[in-house]
Amino acid sequence: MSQLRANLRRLAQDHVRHLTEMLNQTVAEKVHVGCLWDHGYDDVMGYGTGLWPGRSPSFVPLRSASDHPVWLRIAGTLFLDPAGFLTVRTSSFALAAGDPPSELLHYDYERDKVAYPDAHIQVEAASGAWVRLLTSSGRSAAGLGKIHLPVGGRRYRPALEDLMETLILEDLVEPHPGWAKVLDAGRDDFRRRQLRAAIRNDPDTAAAALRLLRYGVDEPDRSGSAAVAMTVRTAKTKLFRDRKARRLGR
Amino acid sequence: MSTQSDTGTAPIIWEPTGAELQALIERELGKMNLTREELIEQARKSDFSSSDARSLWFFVGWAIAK
Repeated sequence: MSQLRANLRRLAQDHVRHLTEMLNQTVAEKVHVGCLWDHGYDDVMGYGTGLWPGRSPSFVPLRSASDHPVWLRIAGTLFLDPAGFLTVRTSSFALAAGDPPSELLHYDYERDKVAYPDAHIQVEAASGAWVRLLTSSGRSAAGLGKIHLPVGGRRYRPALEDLMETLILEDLVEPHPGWAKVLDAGRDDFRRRQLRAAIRNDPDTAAAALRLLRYGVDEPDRSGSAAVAMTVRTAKTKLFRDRKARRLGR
Repeated sequence: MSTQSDTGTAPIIWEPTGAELQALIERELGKMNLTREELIEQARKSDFSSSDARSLWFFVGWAIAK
């Protein structure tokens, strides 16, 4: 097994172990998040709730605060970015209620999604105002669930912990004692990782902010390969934005 | 093949062969009465016909589009 594959496997295992423990210490009991390791692909792993050999991710029960069942399904993929950091390529968190589960909403993330926000929530709901707007715009009256509501983009999107906290604070699930500490720790870790990624992608802004706080920041050597890497990354970002703008007709 | 340590919290890892994974995809698509091409098109439009279809795409989209 190559070092890359070994690292991906180890980090992906850590990731799903964290998800499993977080869920079982806050809003669920004895649920698990598993990994799919496809030997035909070097660079990607699938993961999901209720994953067993030969089965795809399934809805798992949460500790409902009533006699009405509440469910969660996680499905996604992970990879290592060029610097070797575990990165989410796709993730879908679906909440459902009833028996059988009927979806309430889903919070999806697709890295570099074209024409729709990378991170968005879609809610299965209806309202008179939405129906009037949708029908007058030539959309289906039942289309609210098709609207992609943006939630922070790649770097500033909510964590799964935020979604679980909402269910607790809205009295929809019965949490385990100590839930707040577990969710805070997981959320803090997620946000620090996102912040580190944001800094790596925009070091000049990060350096400027630190200088305002009177930190001393030395410029790295940007000659040679470092400068080339920065130029390539900037060009790729611009290319992607231009392509996305064309797809959106802007 | 799957592996799980005896710690109780170690994750389940499913390590299918290529044929086993494709069989899962075919089985799931069959339950949803979808073809690969239809699911790929739904993913392109981010307009899935069901929660199950979206979940399958997010989980193994790379192997479906293969």
